[in-house]
Amino acid sequence: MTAEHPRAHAVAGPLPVAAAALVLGTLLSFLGLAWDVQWHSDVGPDTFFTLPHLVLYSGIATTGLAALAAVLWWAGQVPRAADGIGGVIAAAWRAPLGFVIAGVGAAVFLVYGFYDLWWHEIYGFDVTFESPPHIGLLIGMQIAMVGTVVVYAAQVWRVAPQRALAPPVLGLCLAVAVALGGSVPFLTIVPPVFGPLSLDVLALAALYTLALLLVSAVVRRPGAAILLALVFVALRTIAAVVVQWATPQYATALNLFLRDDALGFAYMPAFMPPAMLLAALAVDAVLLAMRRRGGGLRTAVLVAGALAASTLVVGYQPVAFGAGESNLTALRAATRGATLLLAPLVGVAAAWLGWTIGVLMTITRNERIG
Amino acid sequence: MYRLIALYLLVLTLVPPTVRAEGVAVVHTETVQVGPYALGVGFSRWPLNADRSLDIIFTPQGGISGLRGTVTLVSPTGVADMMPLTRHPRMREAWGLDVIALPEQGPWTLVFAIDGPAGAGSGRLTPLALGARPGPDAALSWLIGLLPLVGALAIGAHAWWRVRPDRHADAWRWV
Repeated sequence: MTAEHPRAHAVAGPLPVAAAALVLGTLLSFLGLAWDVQWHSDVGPDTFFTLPHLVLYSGIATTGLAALAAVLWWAGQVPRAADGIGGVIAAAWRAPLGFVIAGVGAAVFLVYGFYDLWWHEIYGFDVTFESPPHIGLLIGMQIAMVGTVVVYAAQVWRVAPQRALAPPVLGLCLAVAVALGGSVPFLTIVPPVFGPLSLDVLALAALYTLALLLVSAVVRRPGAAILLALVFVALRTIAAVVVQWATPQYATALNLFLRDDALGFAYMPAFMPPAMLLAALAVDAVLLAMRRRGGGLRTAVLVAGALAASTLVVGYQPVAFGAGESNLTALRAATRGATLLLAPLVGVAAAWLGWTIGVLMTITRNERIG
Repeated sequence: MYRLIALYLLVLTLVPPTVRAEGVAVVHTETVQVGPYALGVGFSRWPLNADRSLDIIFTPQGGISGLRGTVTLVSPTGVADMMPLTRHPRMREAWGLDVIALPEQGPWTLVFAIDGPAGAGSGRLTPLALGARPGPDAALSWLIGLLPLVGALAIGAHAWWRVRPDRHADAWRWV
């Protein structure tokens, strides 16, 4: 399908290595973020120079430098319209899209890091997670993570269309799982209840359904959704183990103590739904069954989405913070019926969007940009 | 690759731990009678401003051992937030709220309830005046914070619209 494409060498050279550095960088930044959140909630004091920040920033730096290296290498490969810096910039605009996106995301993170520093000068250190600079930082990180997904989506088909467990497929699943982990802060600021609906549960169901169908659209073979879910659950487990081990260790090393009301569980991983596994099973089962029976792909995708979102809503486990939550628990119970009724519709829309974005990424790799 | 990882781990261990377990420098103290208990309320910043972070230390005369209680933060508009009195993580001989910010300008009230050997009692610190929120306008700050999101969504929507992947030949075909 794409072997004769003039830019088929896009995945040759050092690009697979740069892609691996990209996804490892985003993984590191996700772990650093999860650790930092745990540190703030269980221990507290903050300066810029904490180990969680160091892990977070070195992850983003790895991503940014890998993206820069890939773009510069590409600039050296293509014939230049002009010499000097103008030629390099012109070439960079034609560089593999995912690396450009990831690089821009890392740069946004860096810029908002300065905004954050200034913010702390005015308001003191980290009172609230949901400050404007933090949201800007996290959006930058999310952009870098999406760029990494684009990089792997571009590699999946071209490198090994016949092998289900090829490194690019695993890389794609890891990149998407990390991006879902990075989305946790955004999902936690969605209002939990809106009218008769549990809005945060619906948002979560929509996002995870979108991710399942996006990966299915790129990989185009049975088992893709399940592979994503397995990688996602592994990431959740690793993050939980790491932050629960590292937080008290680091506190002890600094002669600090855990708060009396420390959570006792890993905060960010608790928001990553294990029901993803069941939803993925539903997606792959529907796609496989419809294919065998000669059903239409569009119908299969939409049915899979409706089922996946419903599964995610049914399997949703609210994160319990103990005292003061009984009101919210009652509201959740009251909104459960309407939320479940709306879930298939939300799933259909999310599946359609996820699938077409997946197709968009494959078209991009084939026809527009290396 | 292994060398790089080893180097990274080495760098991590070389970073000096710059957060230290220092106590809290209290710059202002108020005293509140909570039933039979005299409670010192210490602030790490004074005067107070909305949204500006600080530590608040609660020290009952004679120490916290054998005592338990709650503090309720009541905002000028009447929003009440009750929490148990727990030890301050960097001043464990006292109770405290570490790194908090009160979000509203105006007169706040702190309501205390303490139970112990001398019996139960309650008391309040009011008014606790908070000055204006420092820094730029909140709306402007959020506008700057959300710029990358607006940019990313606009570019993403533009790319989707230009390509129209839903109309692509391969989009809805089993391959």
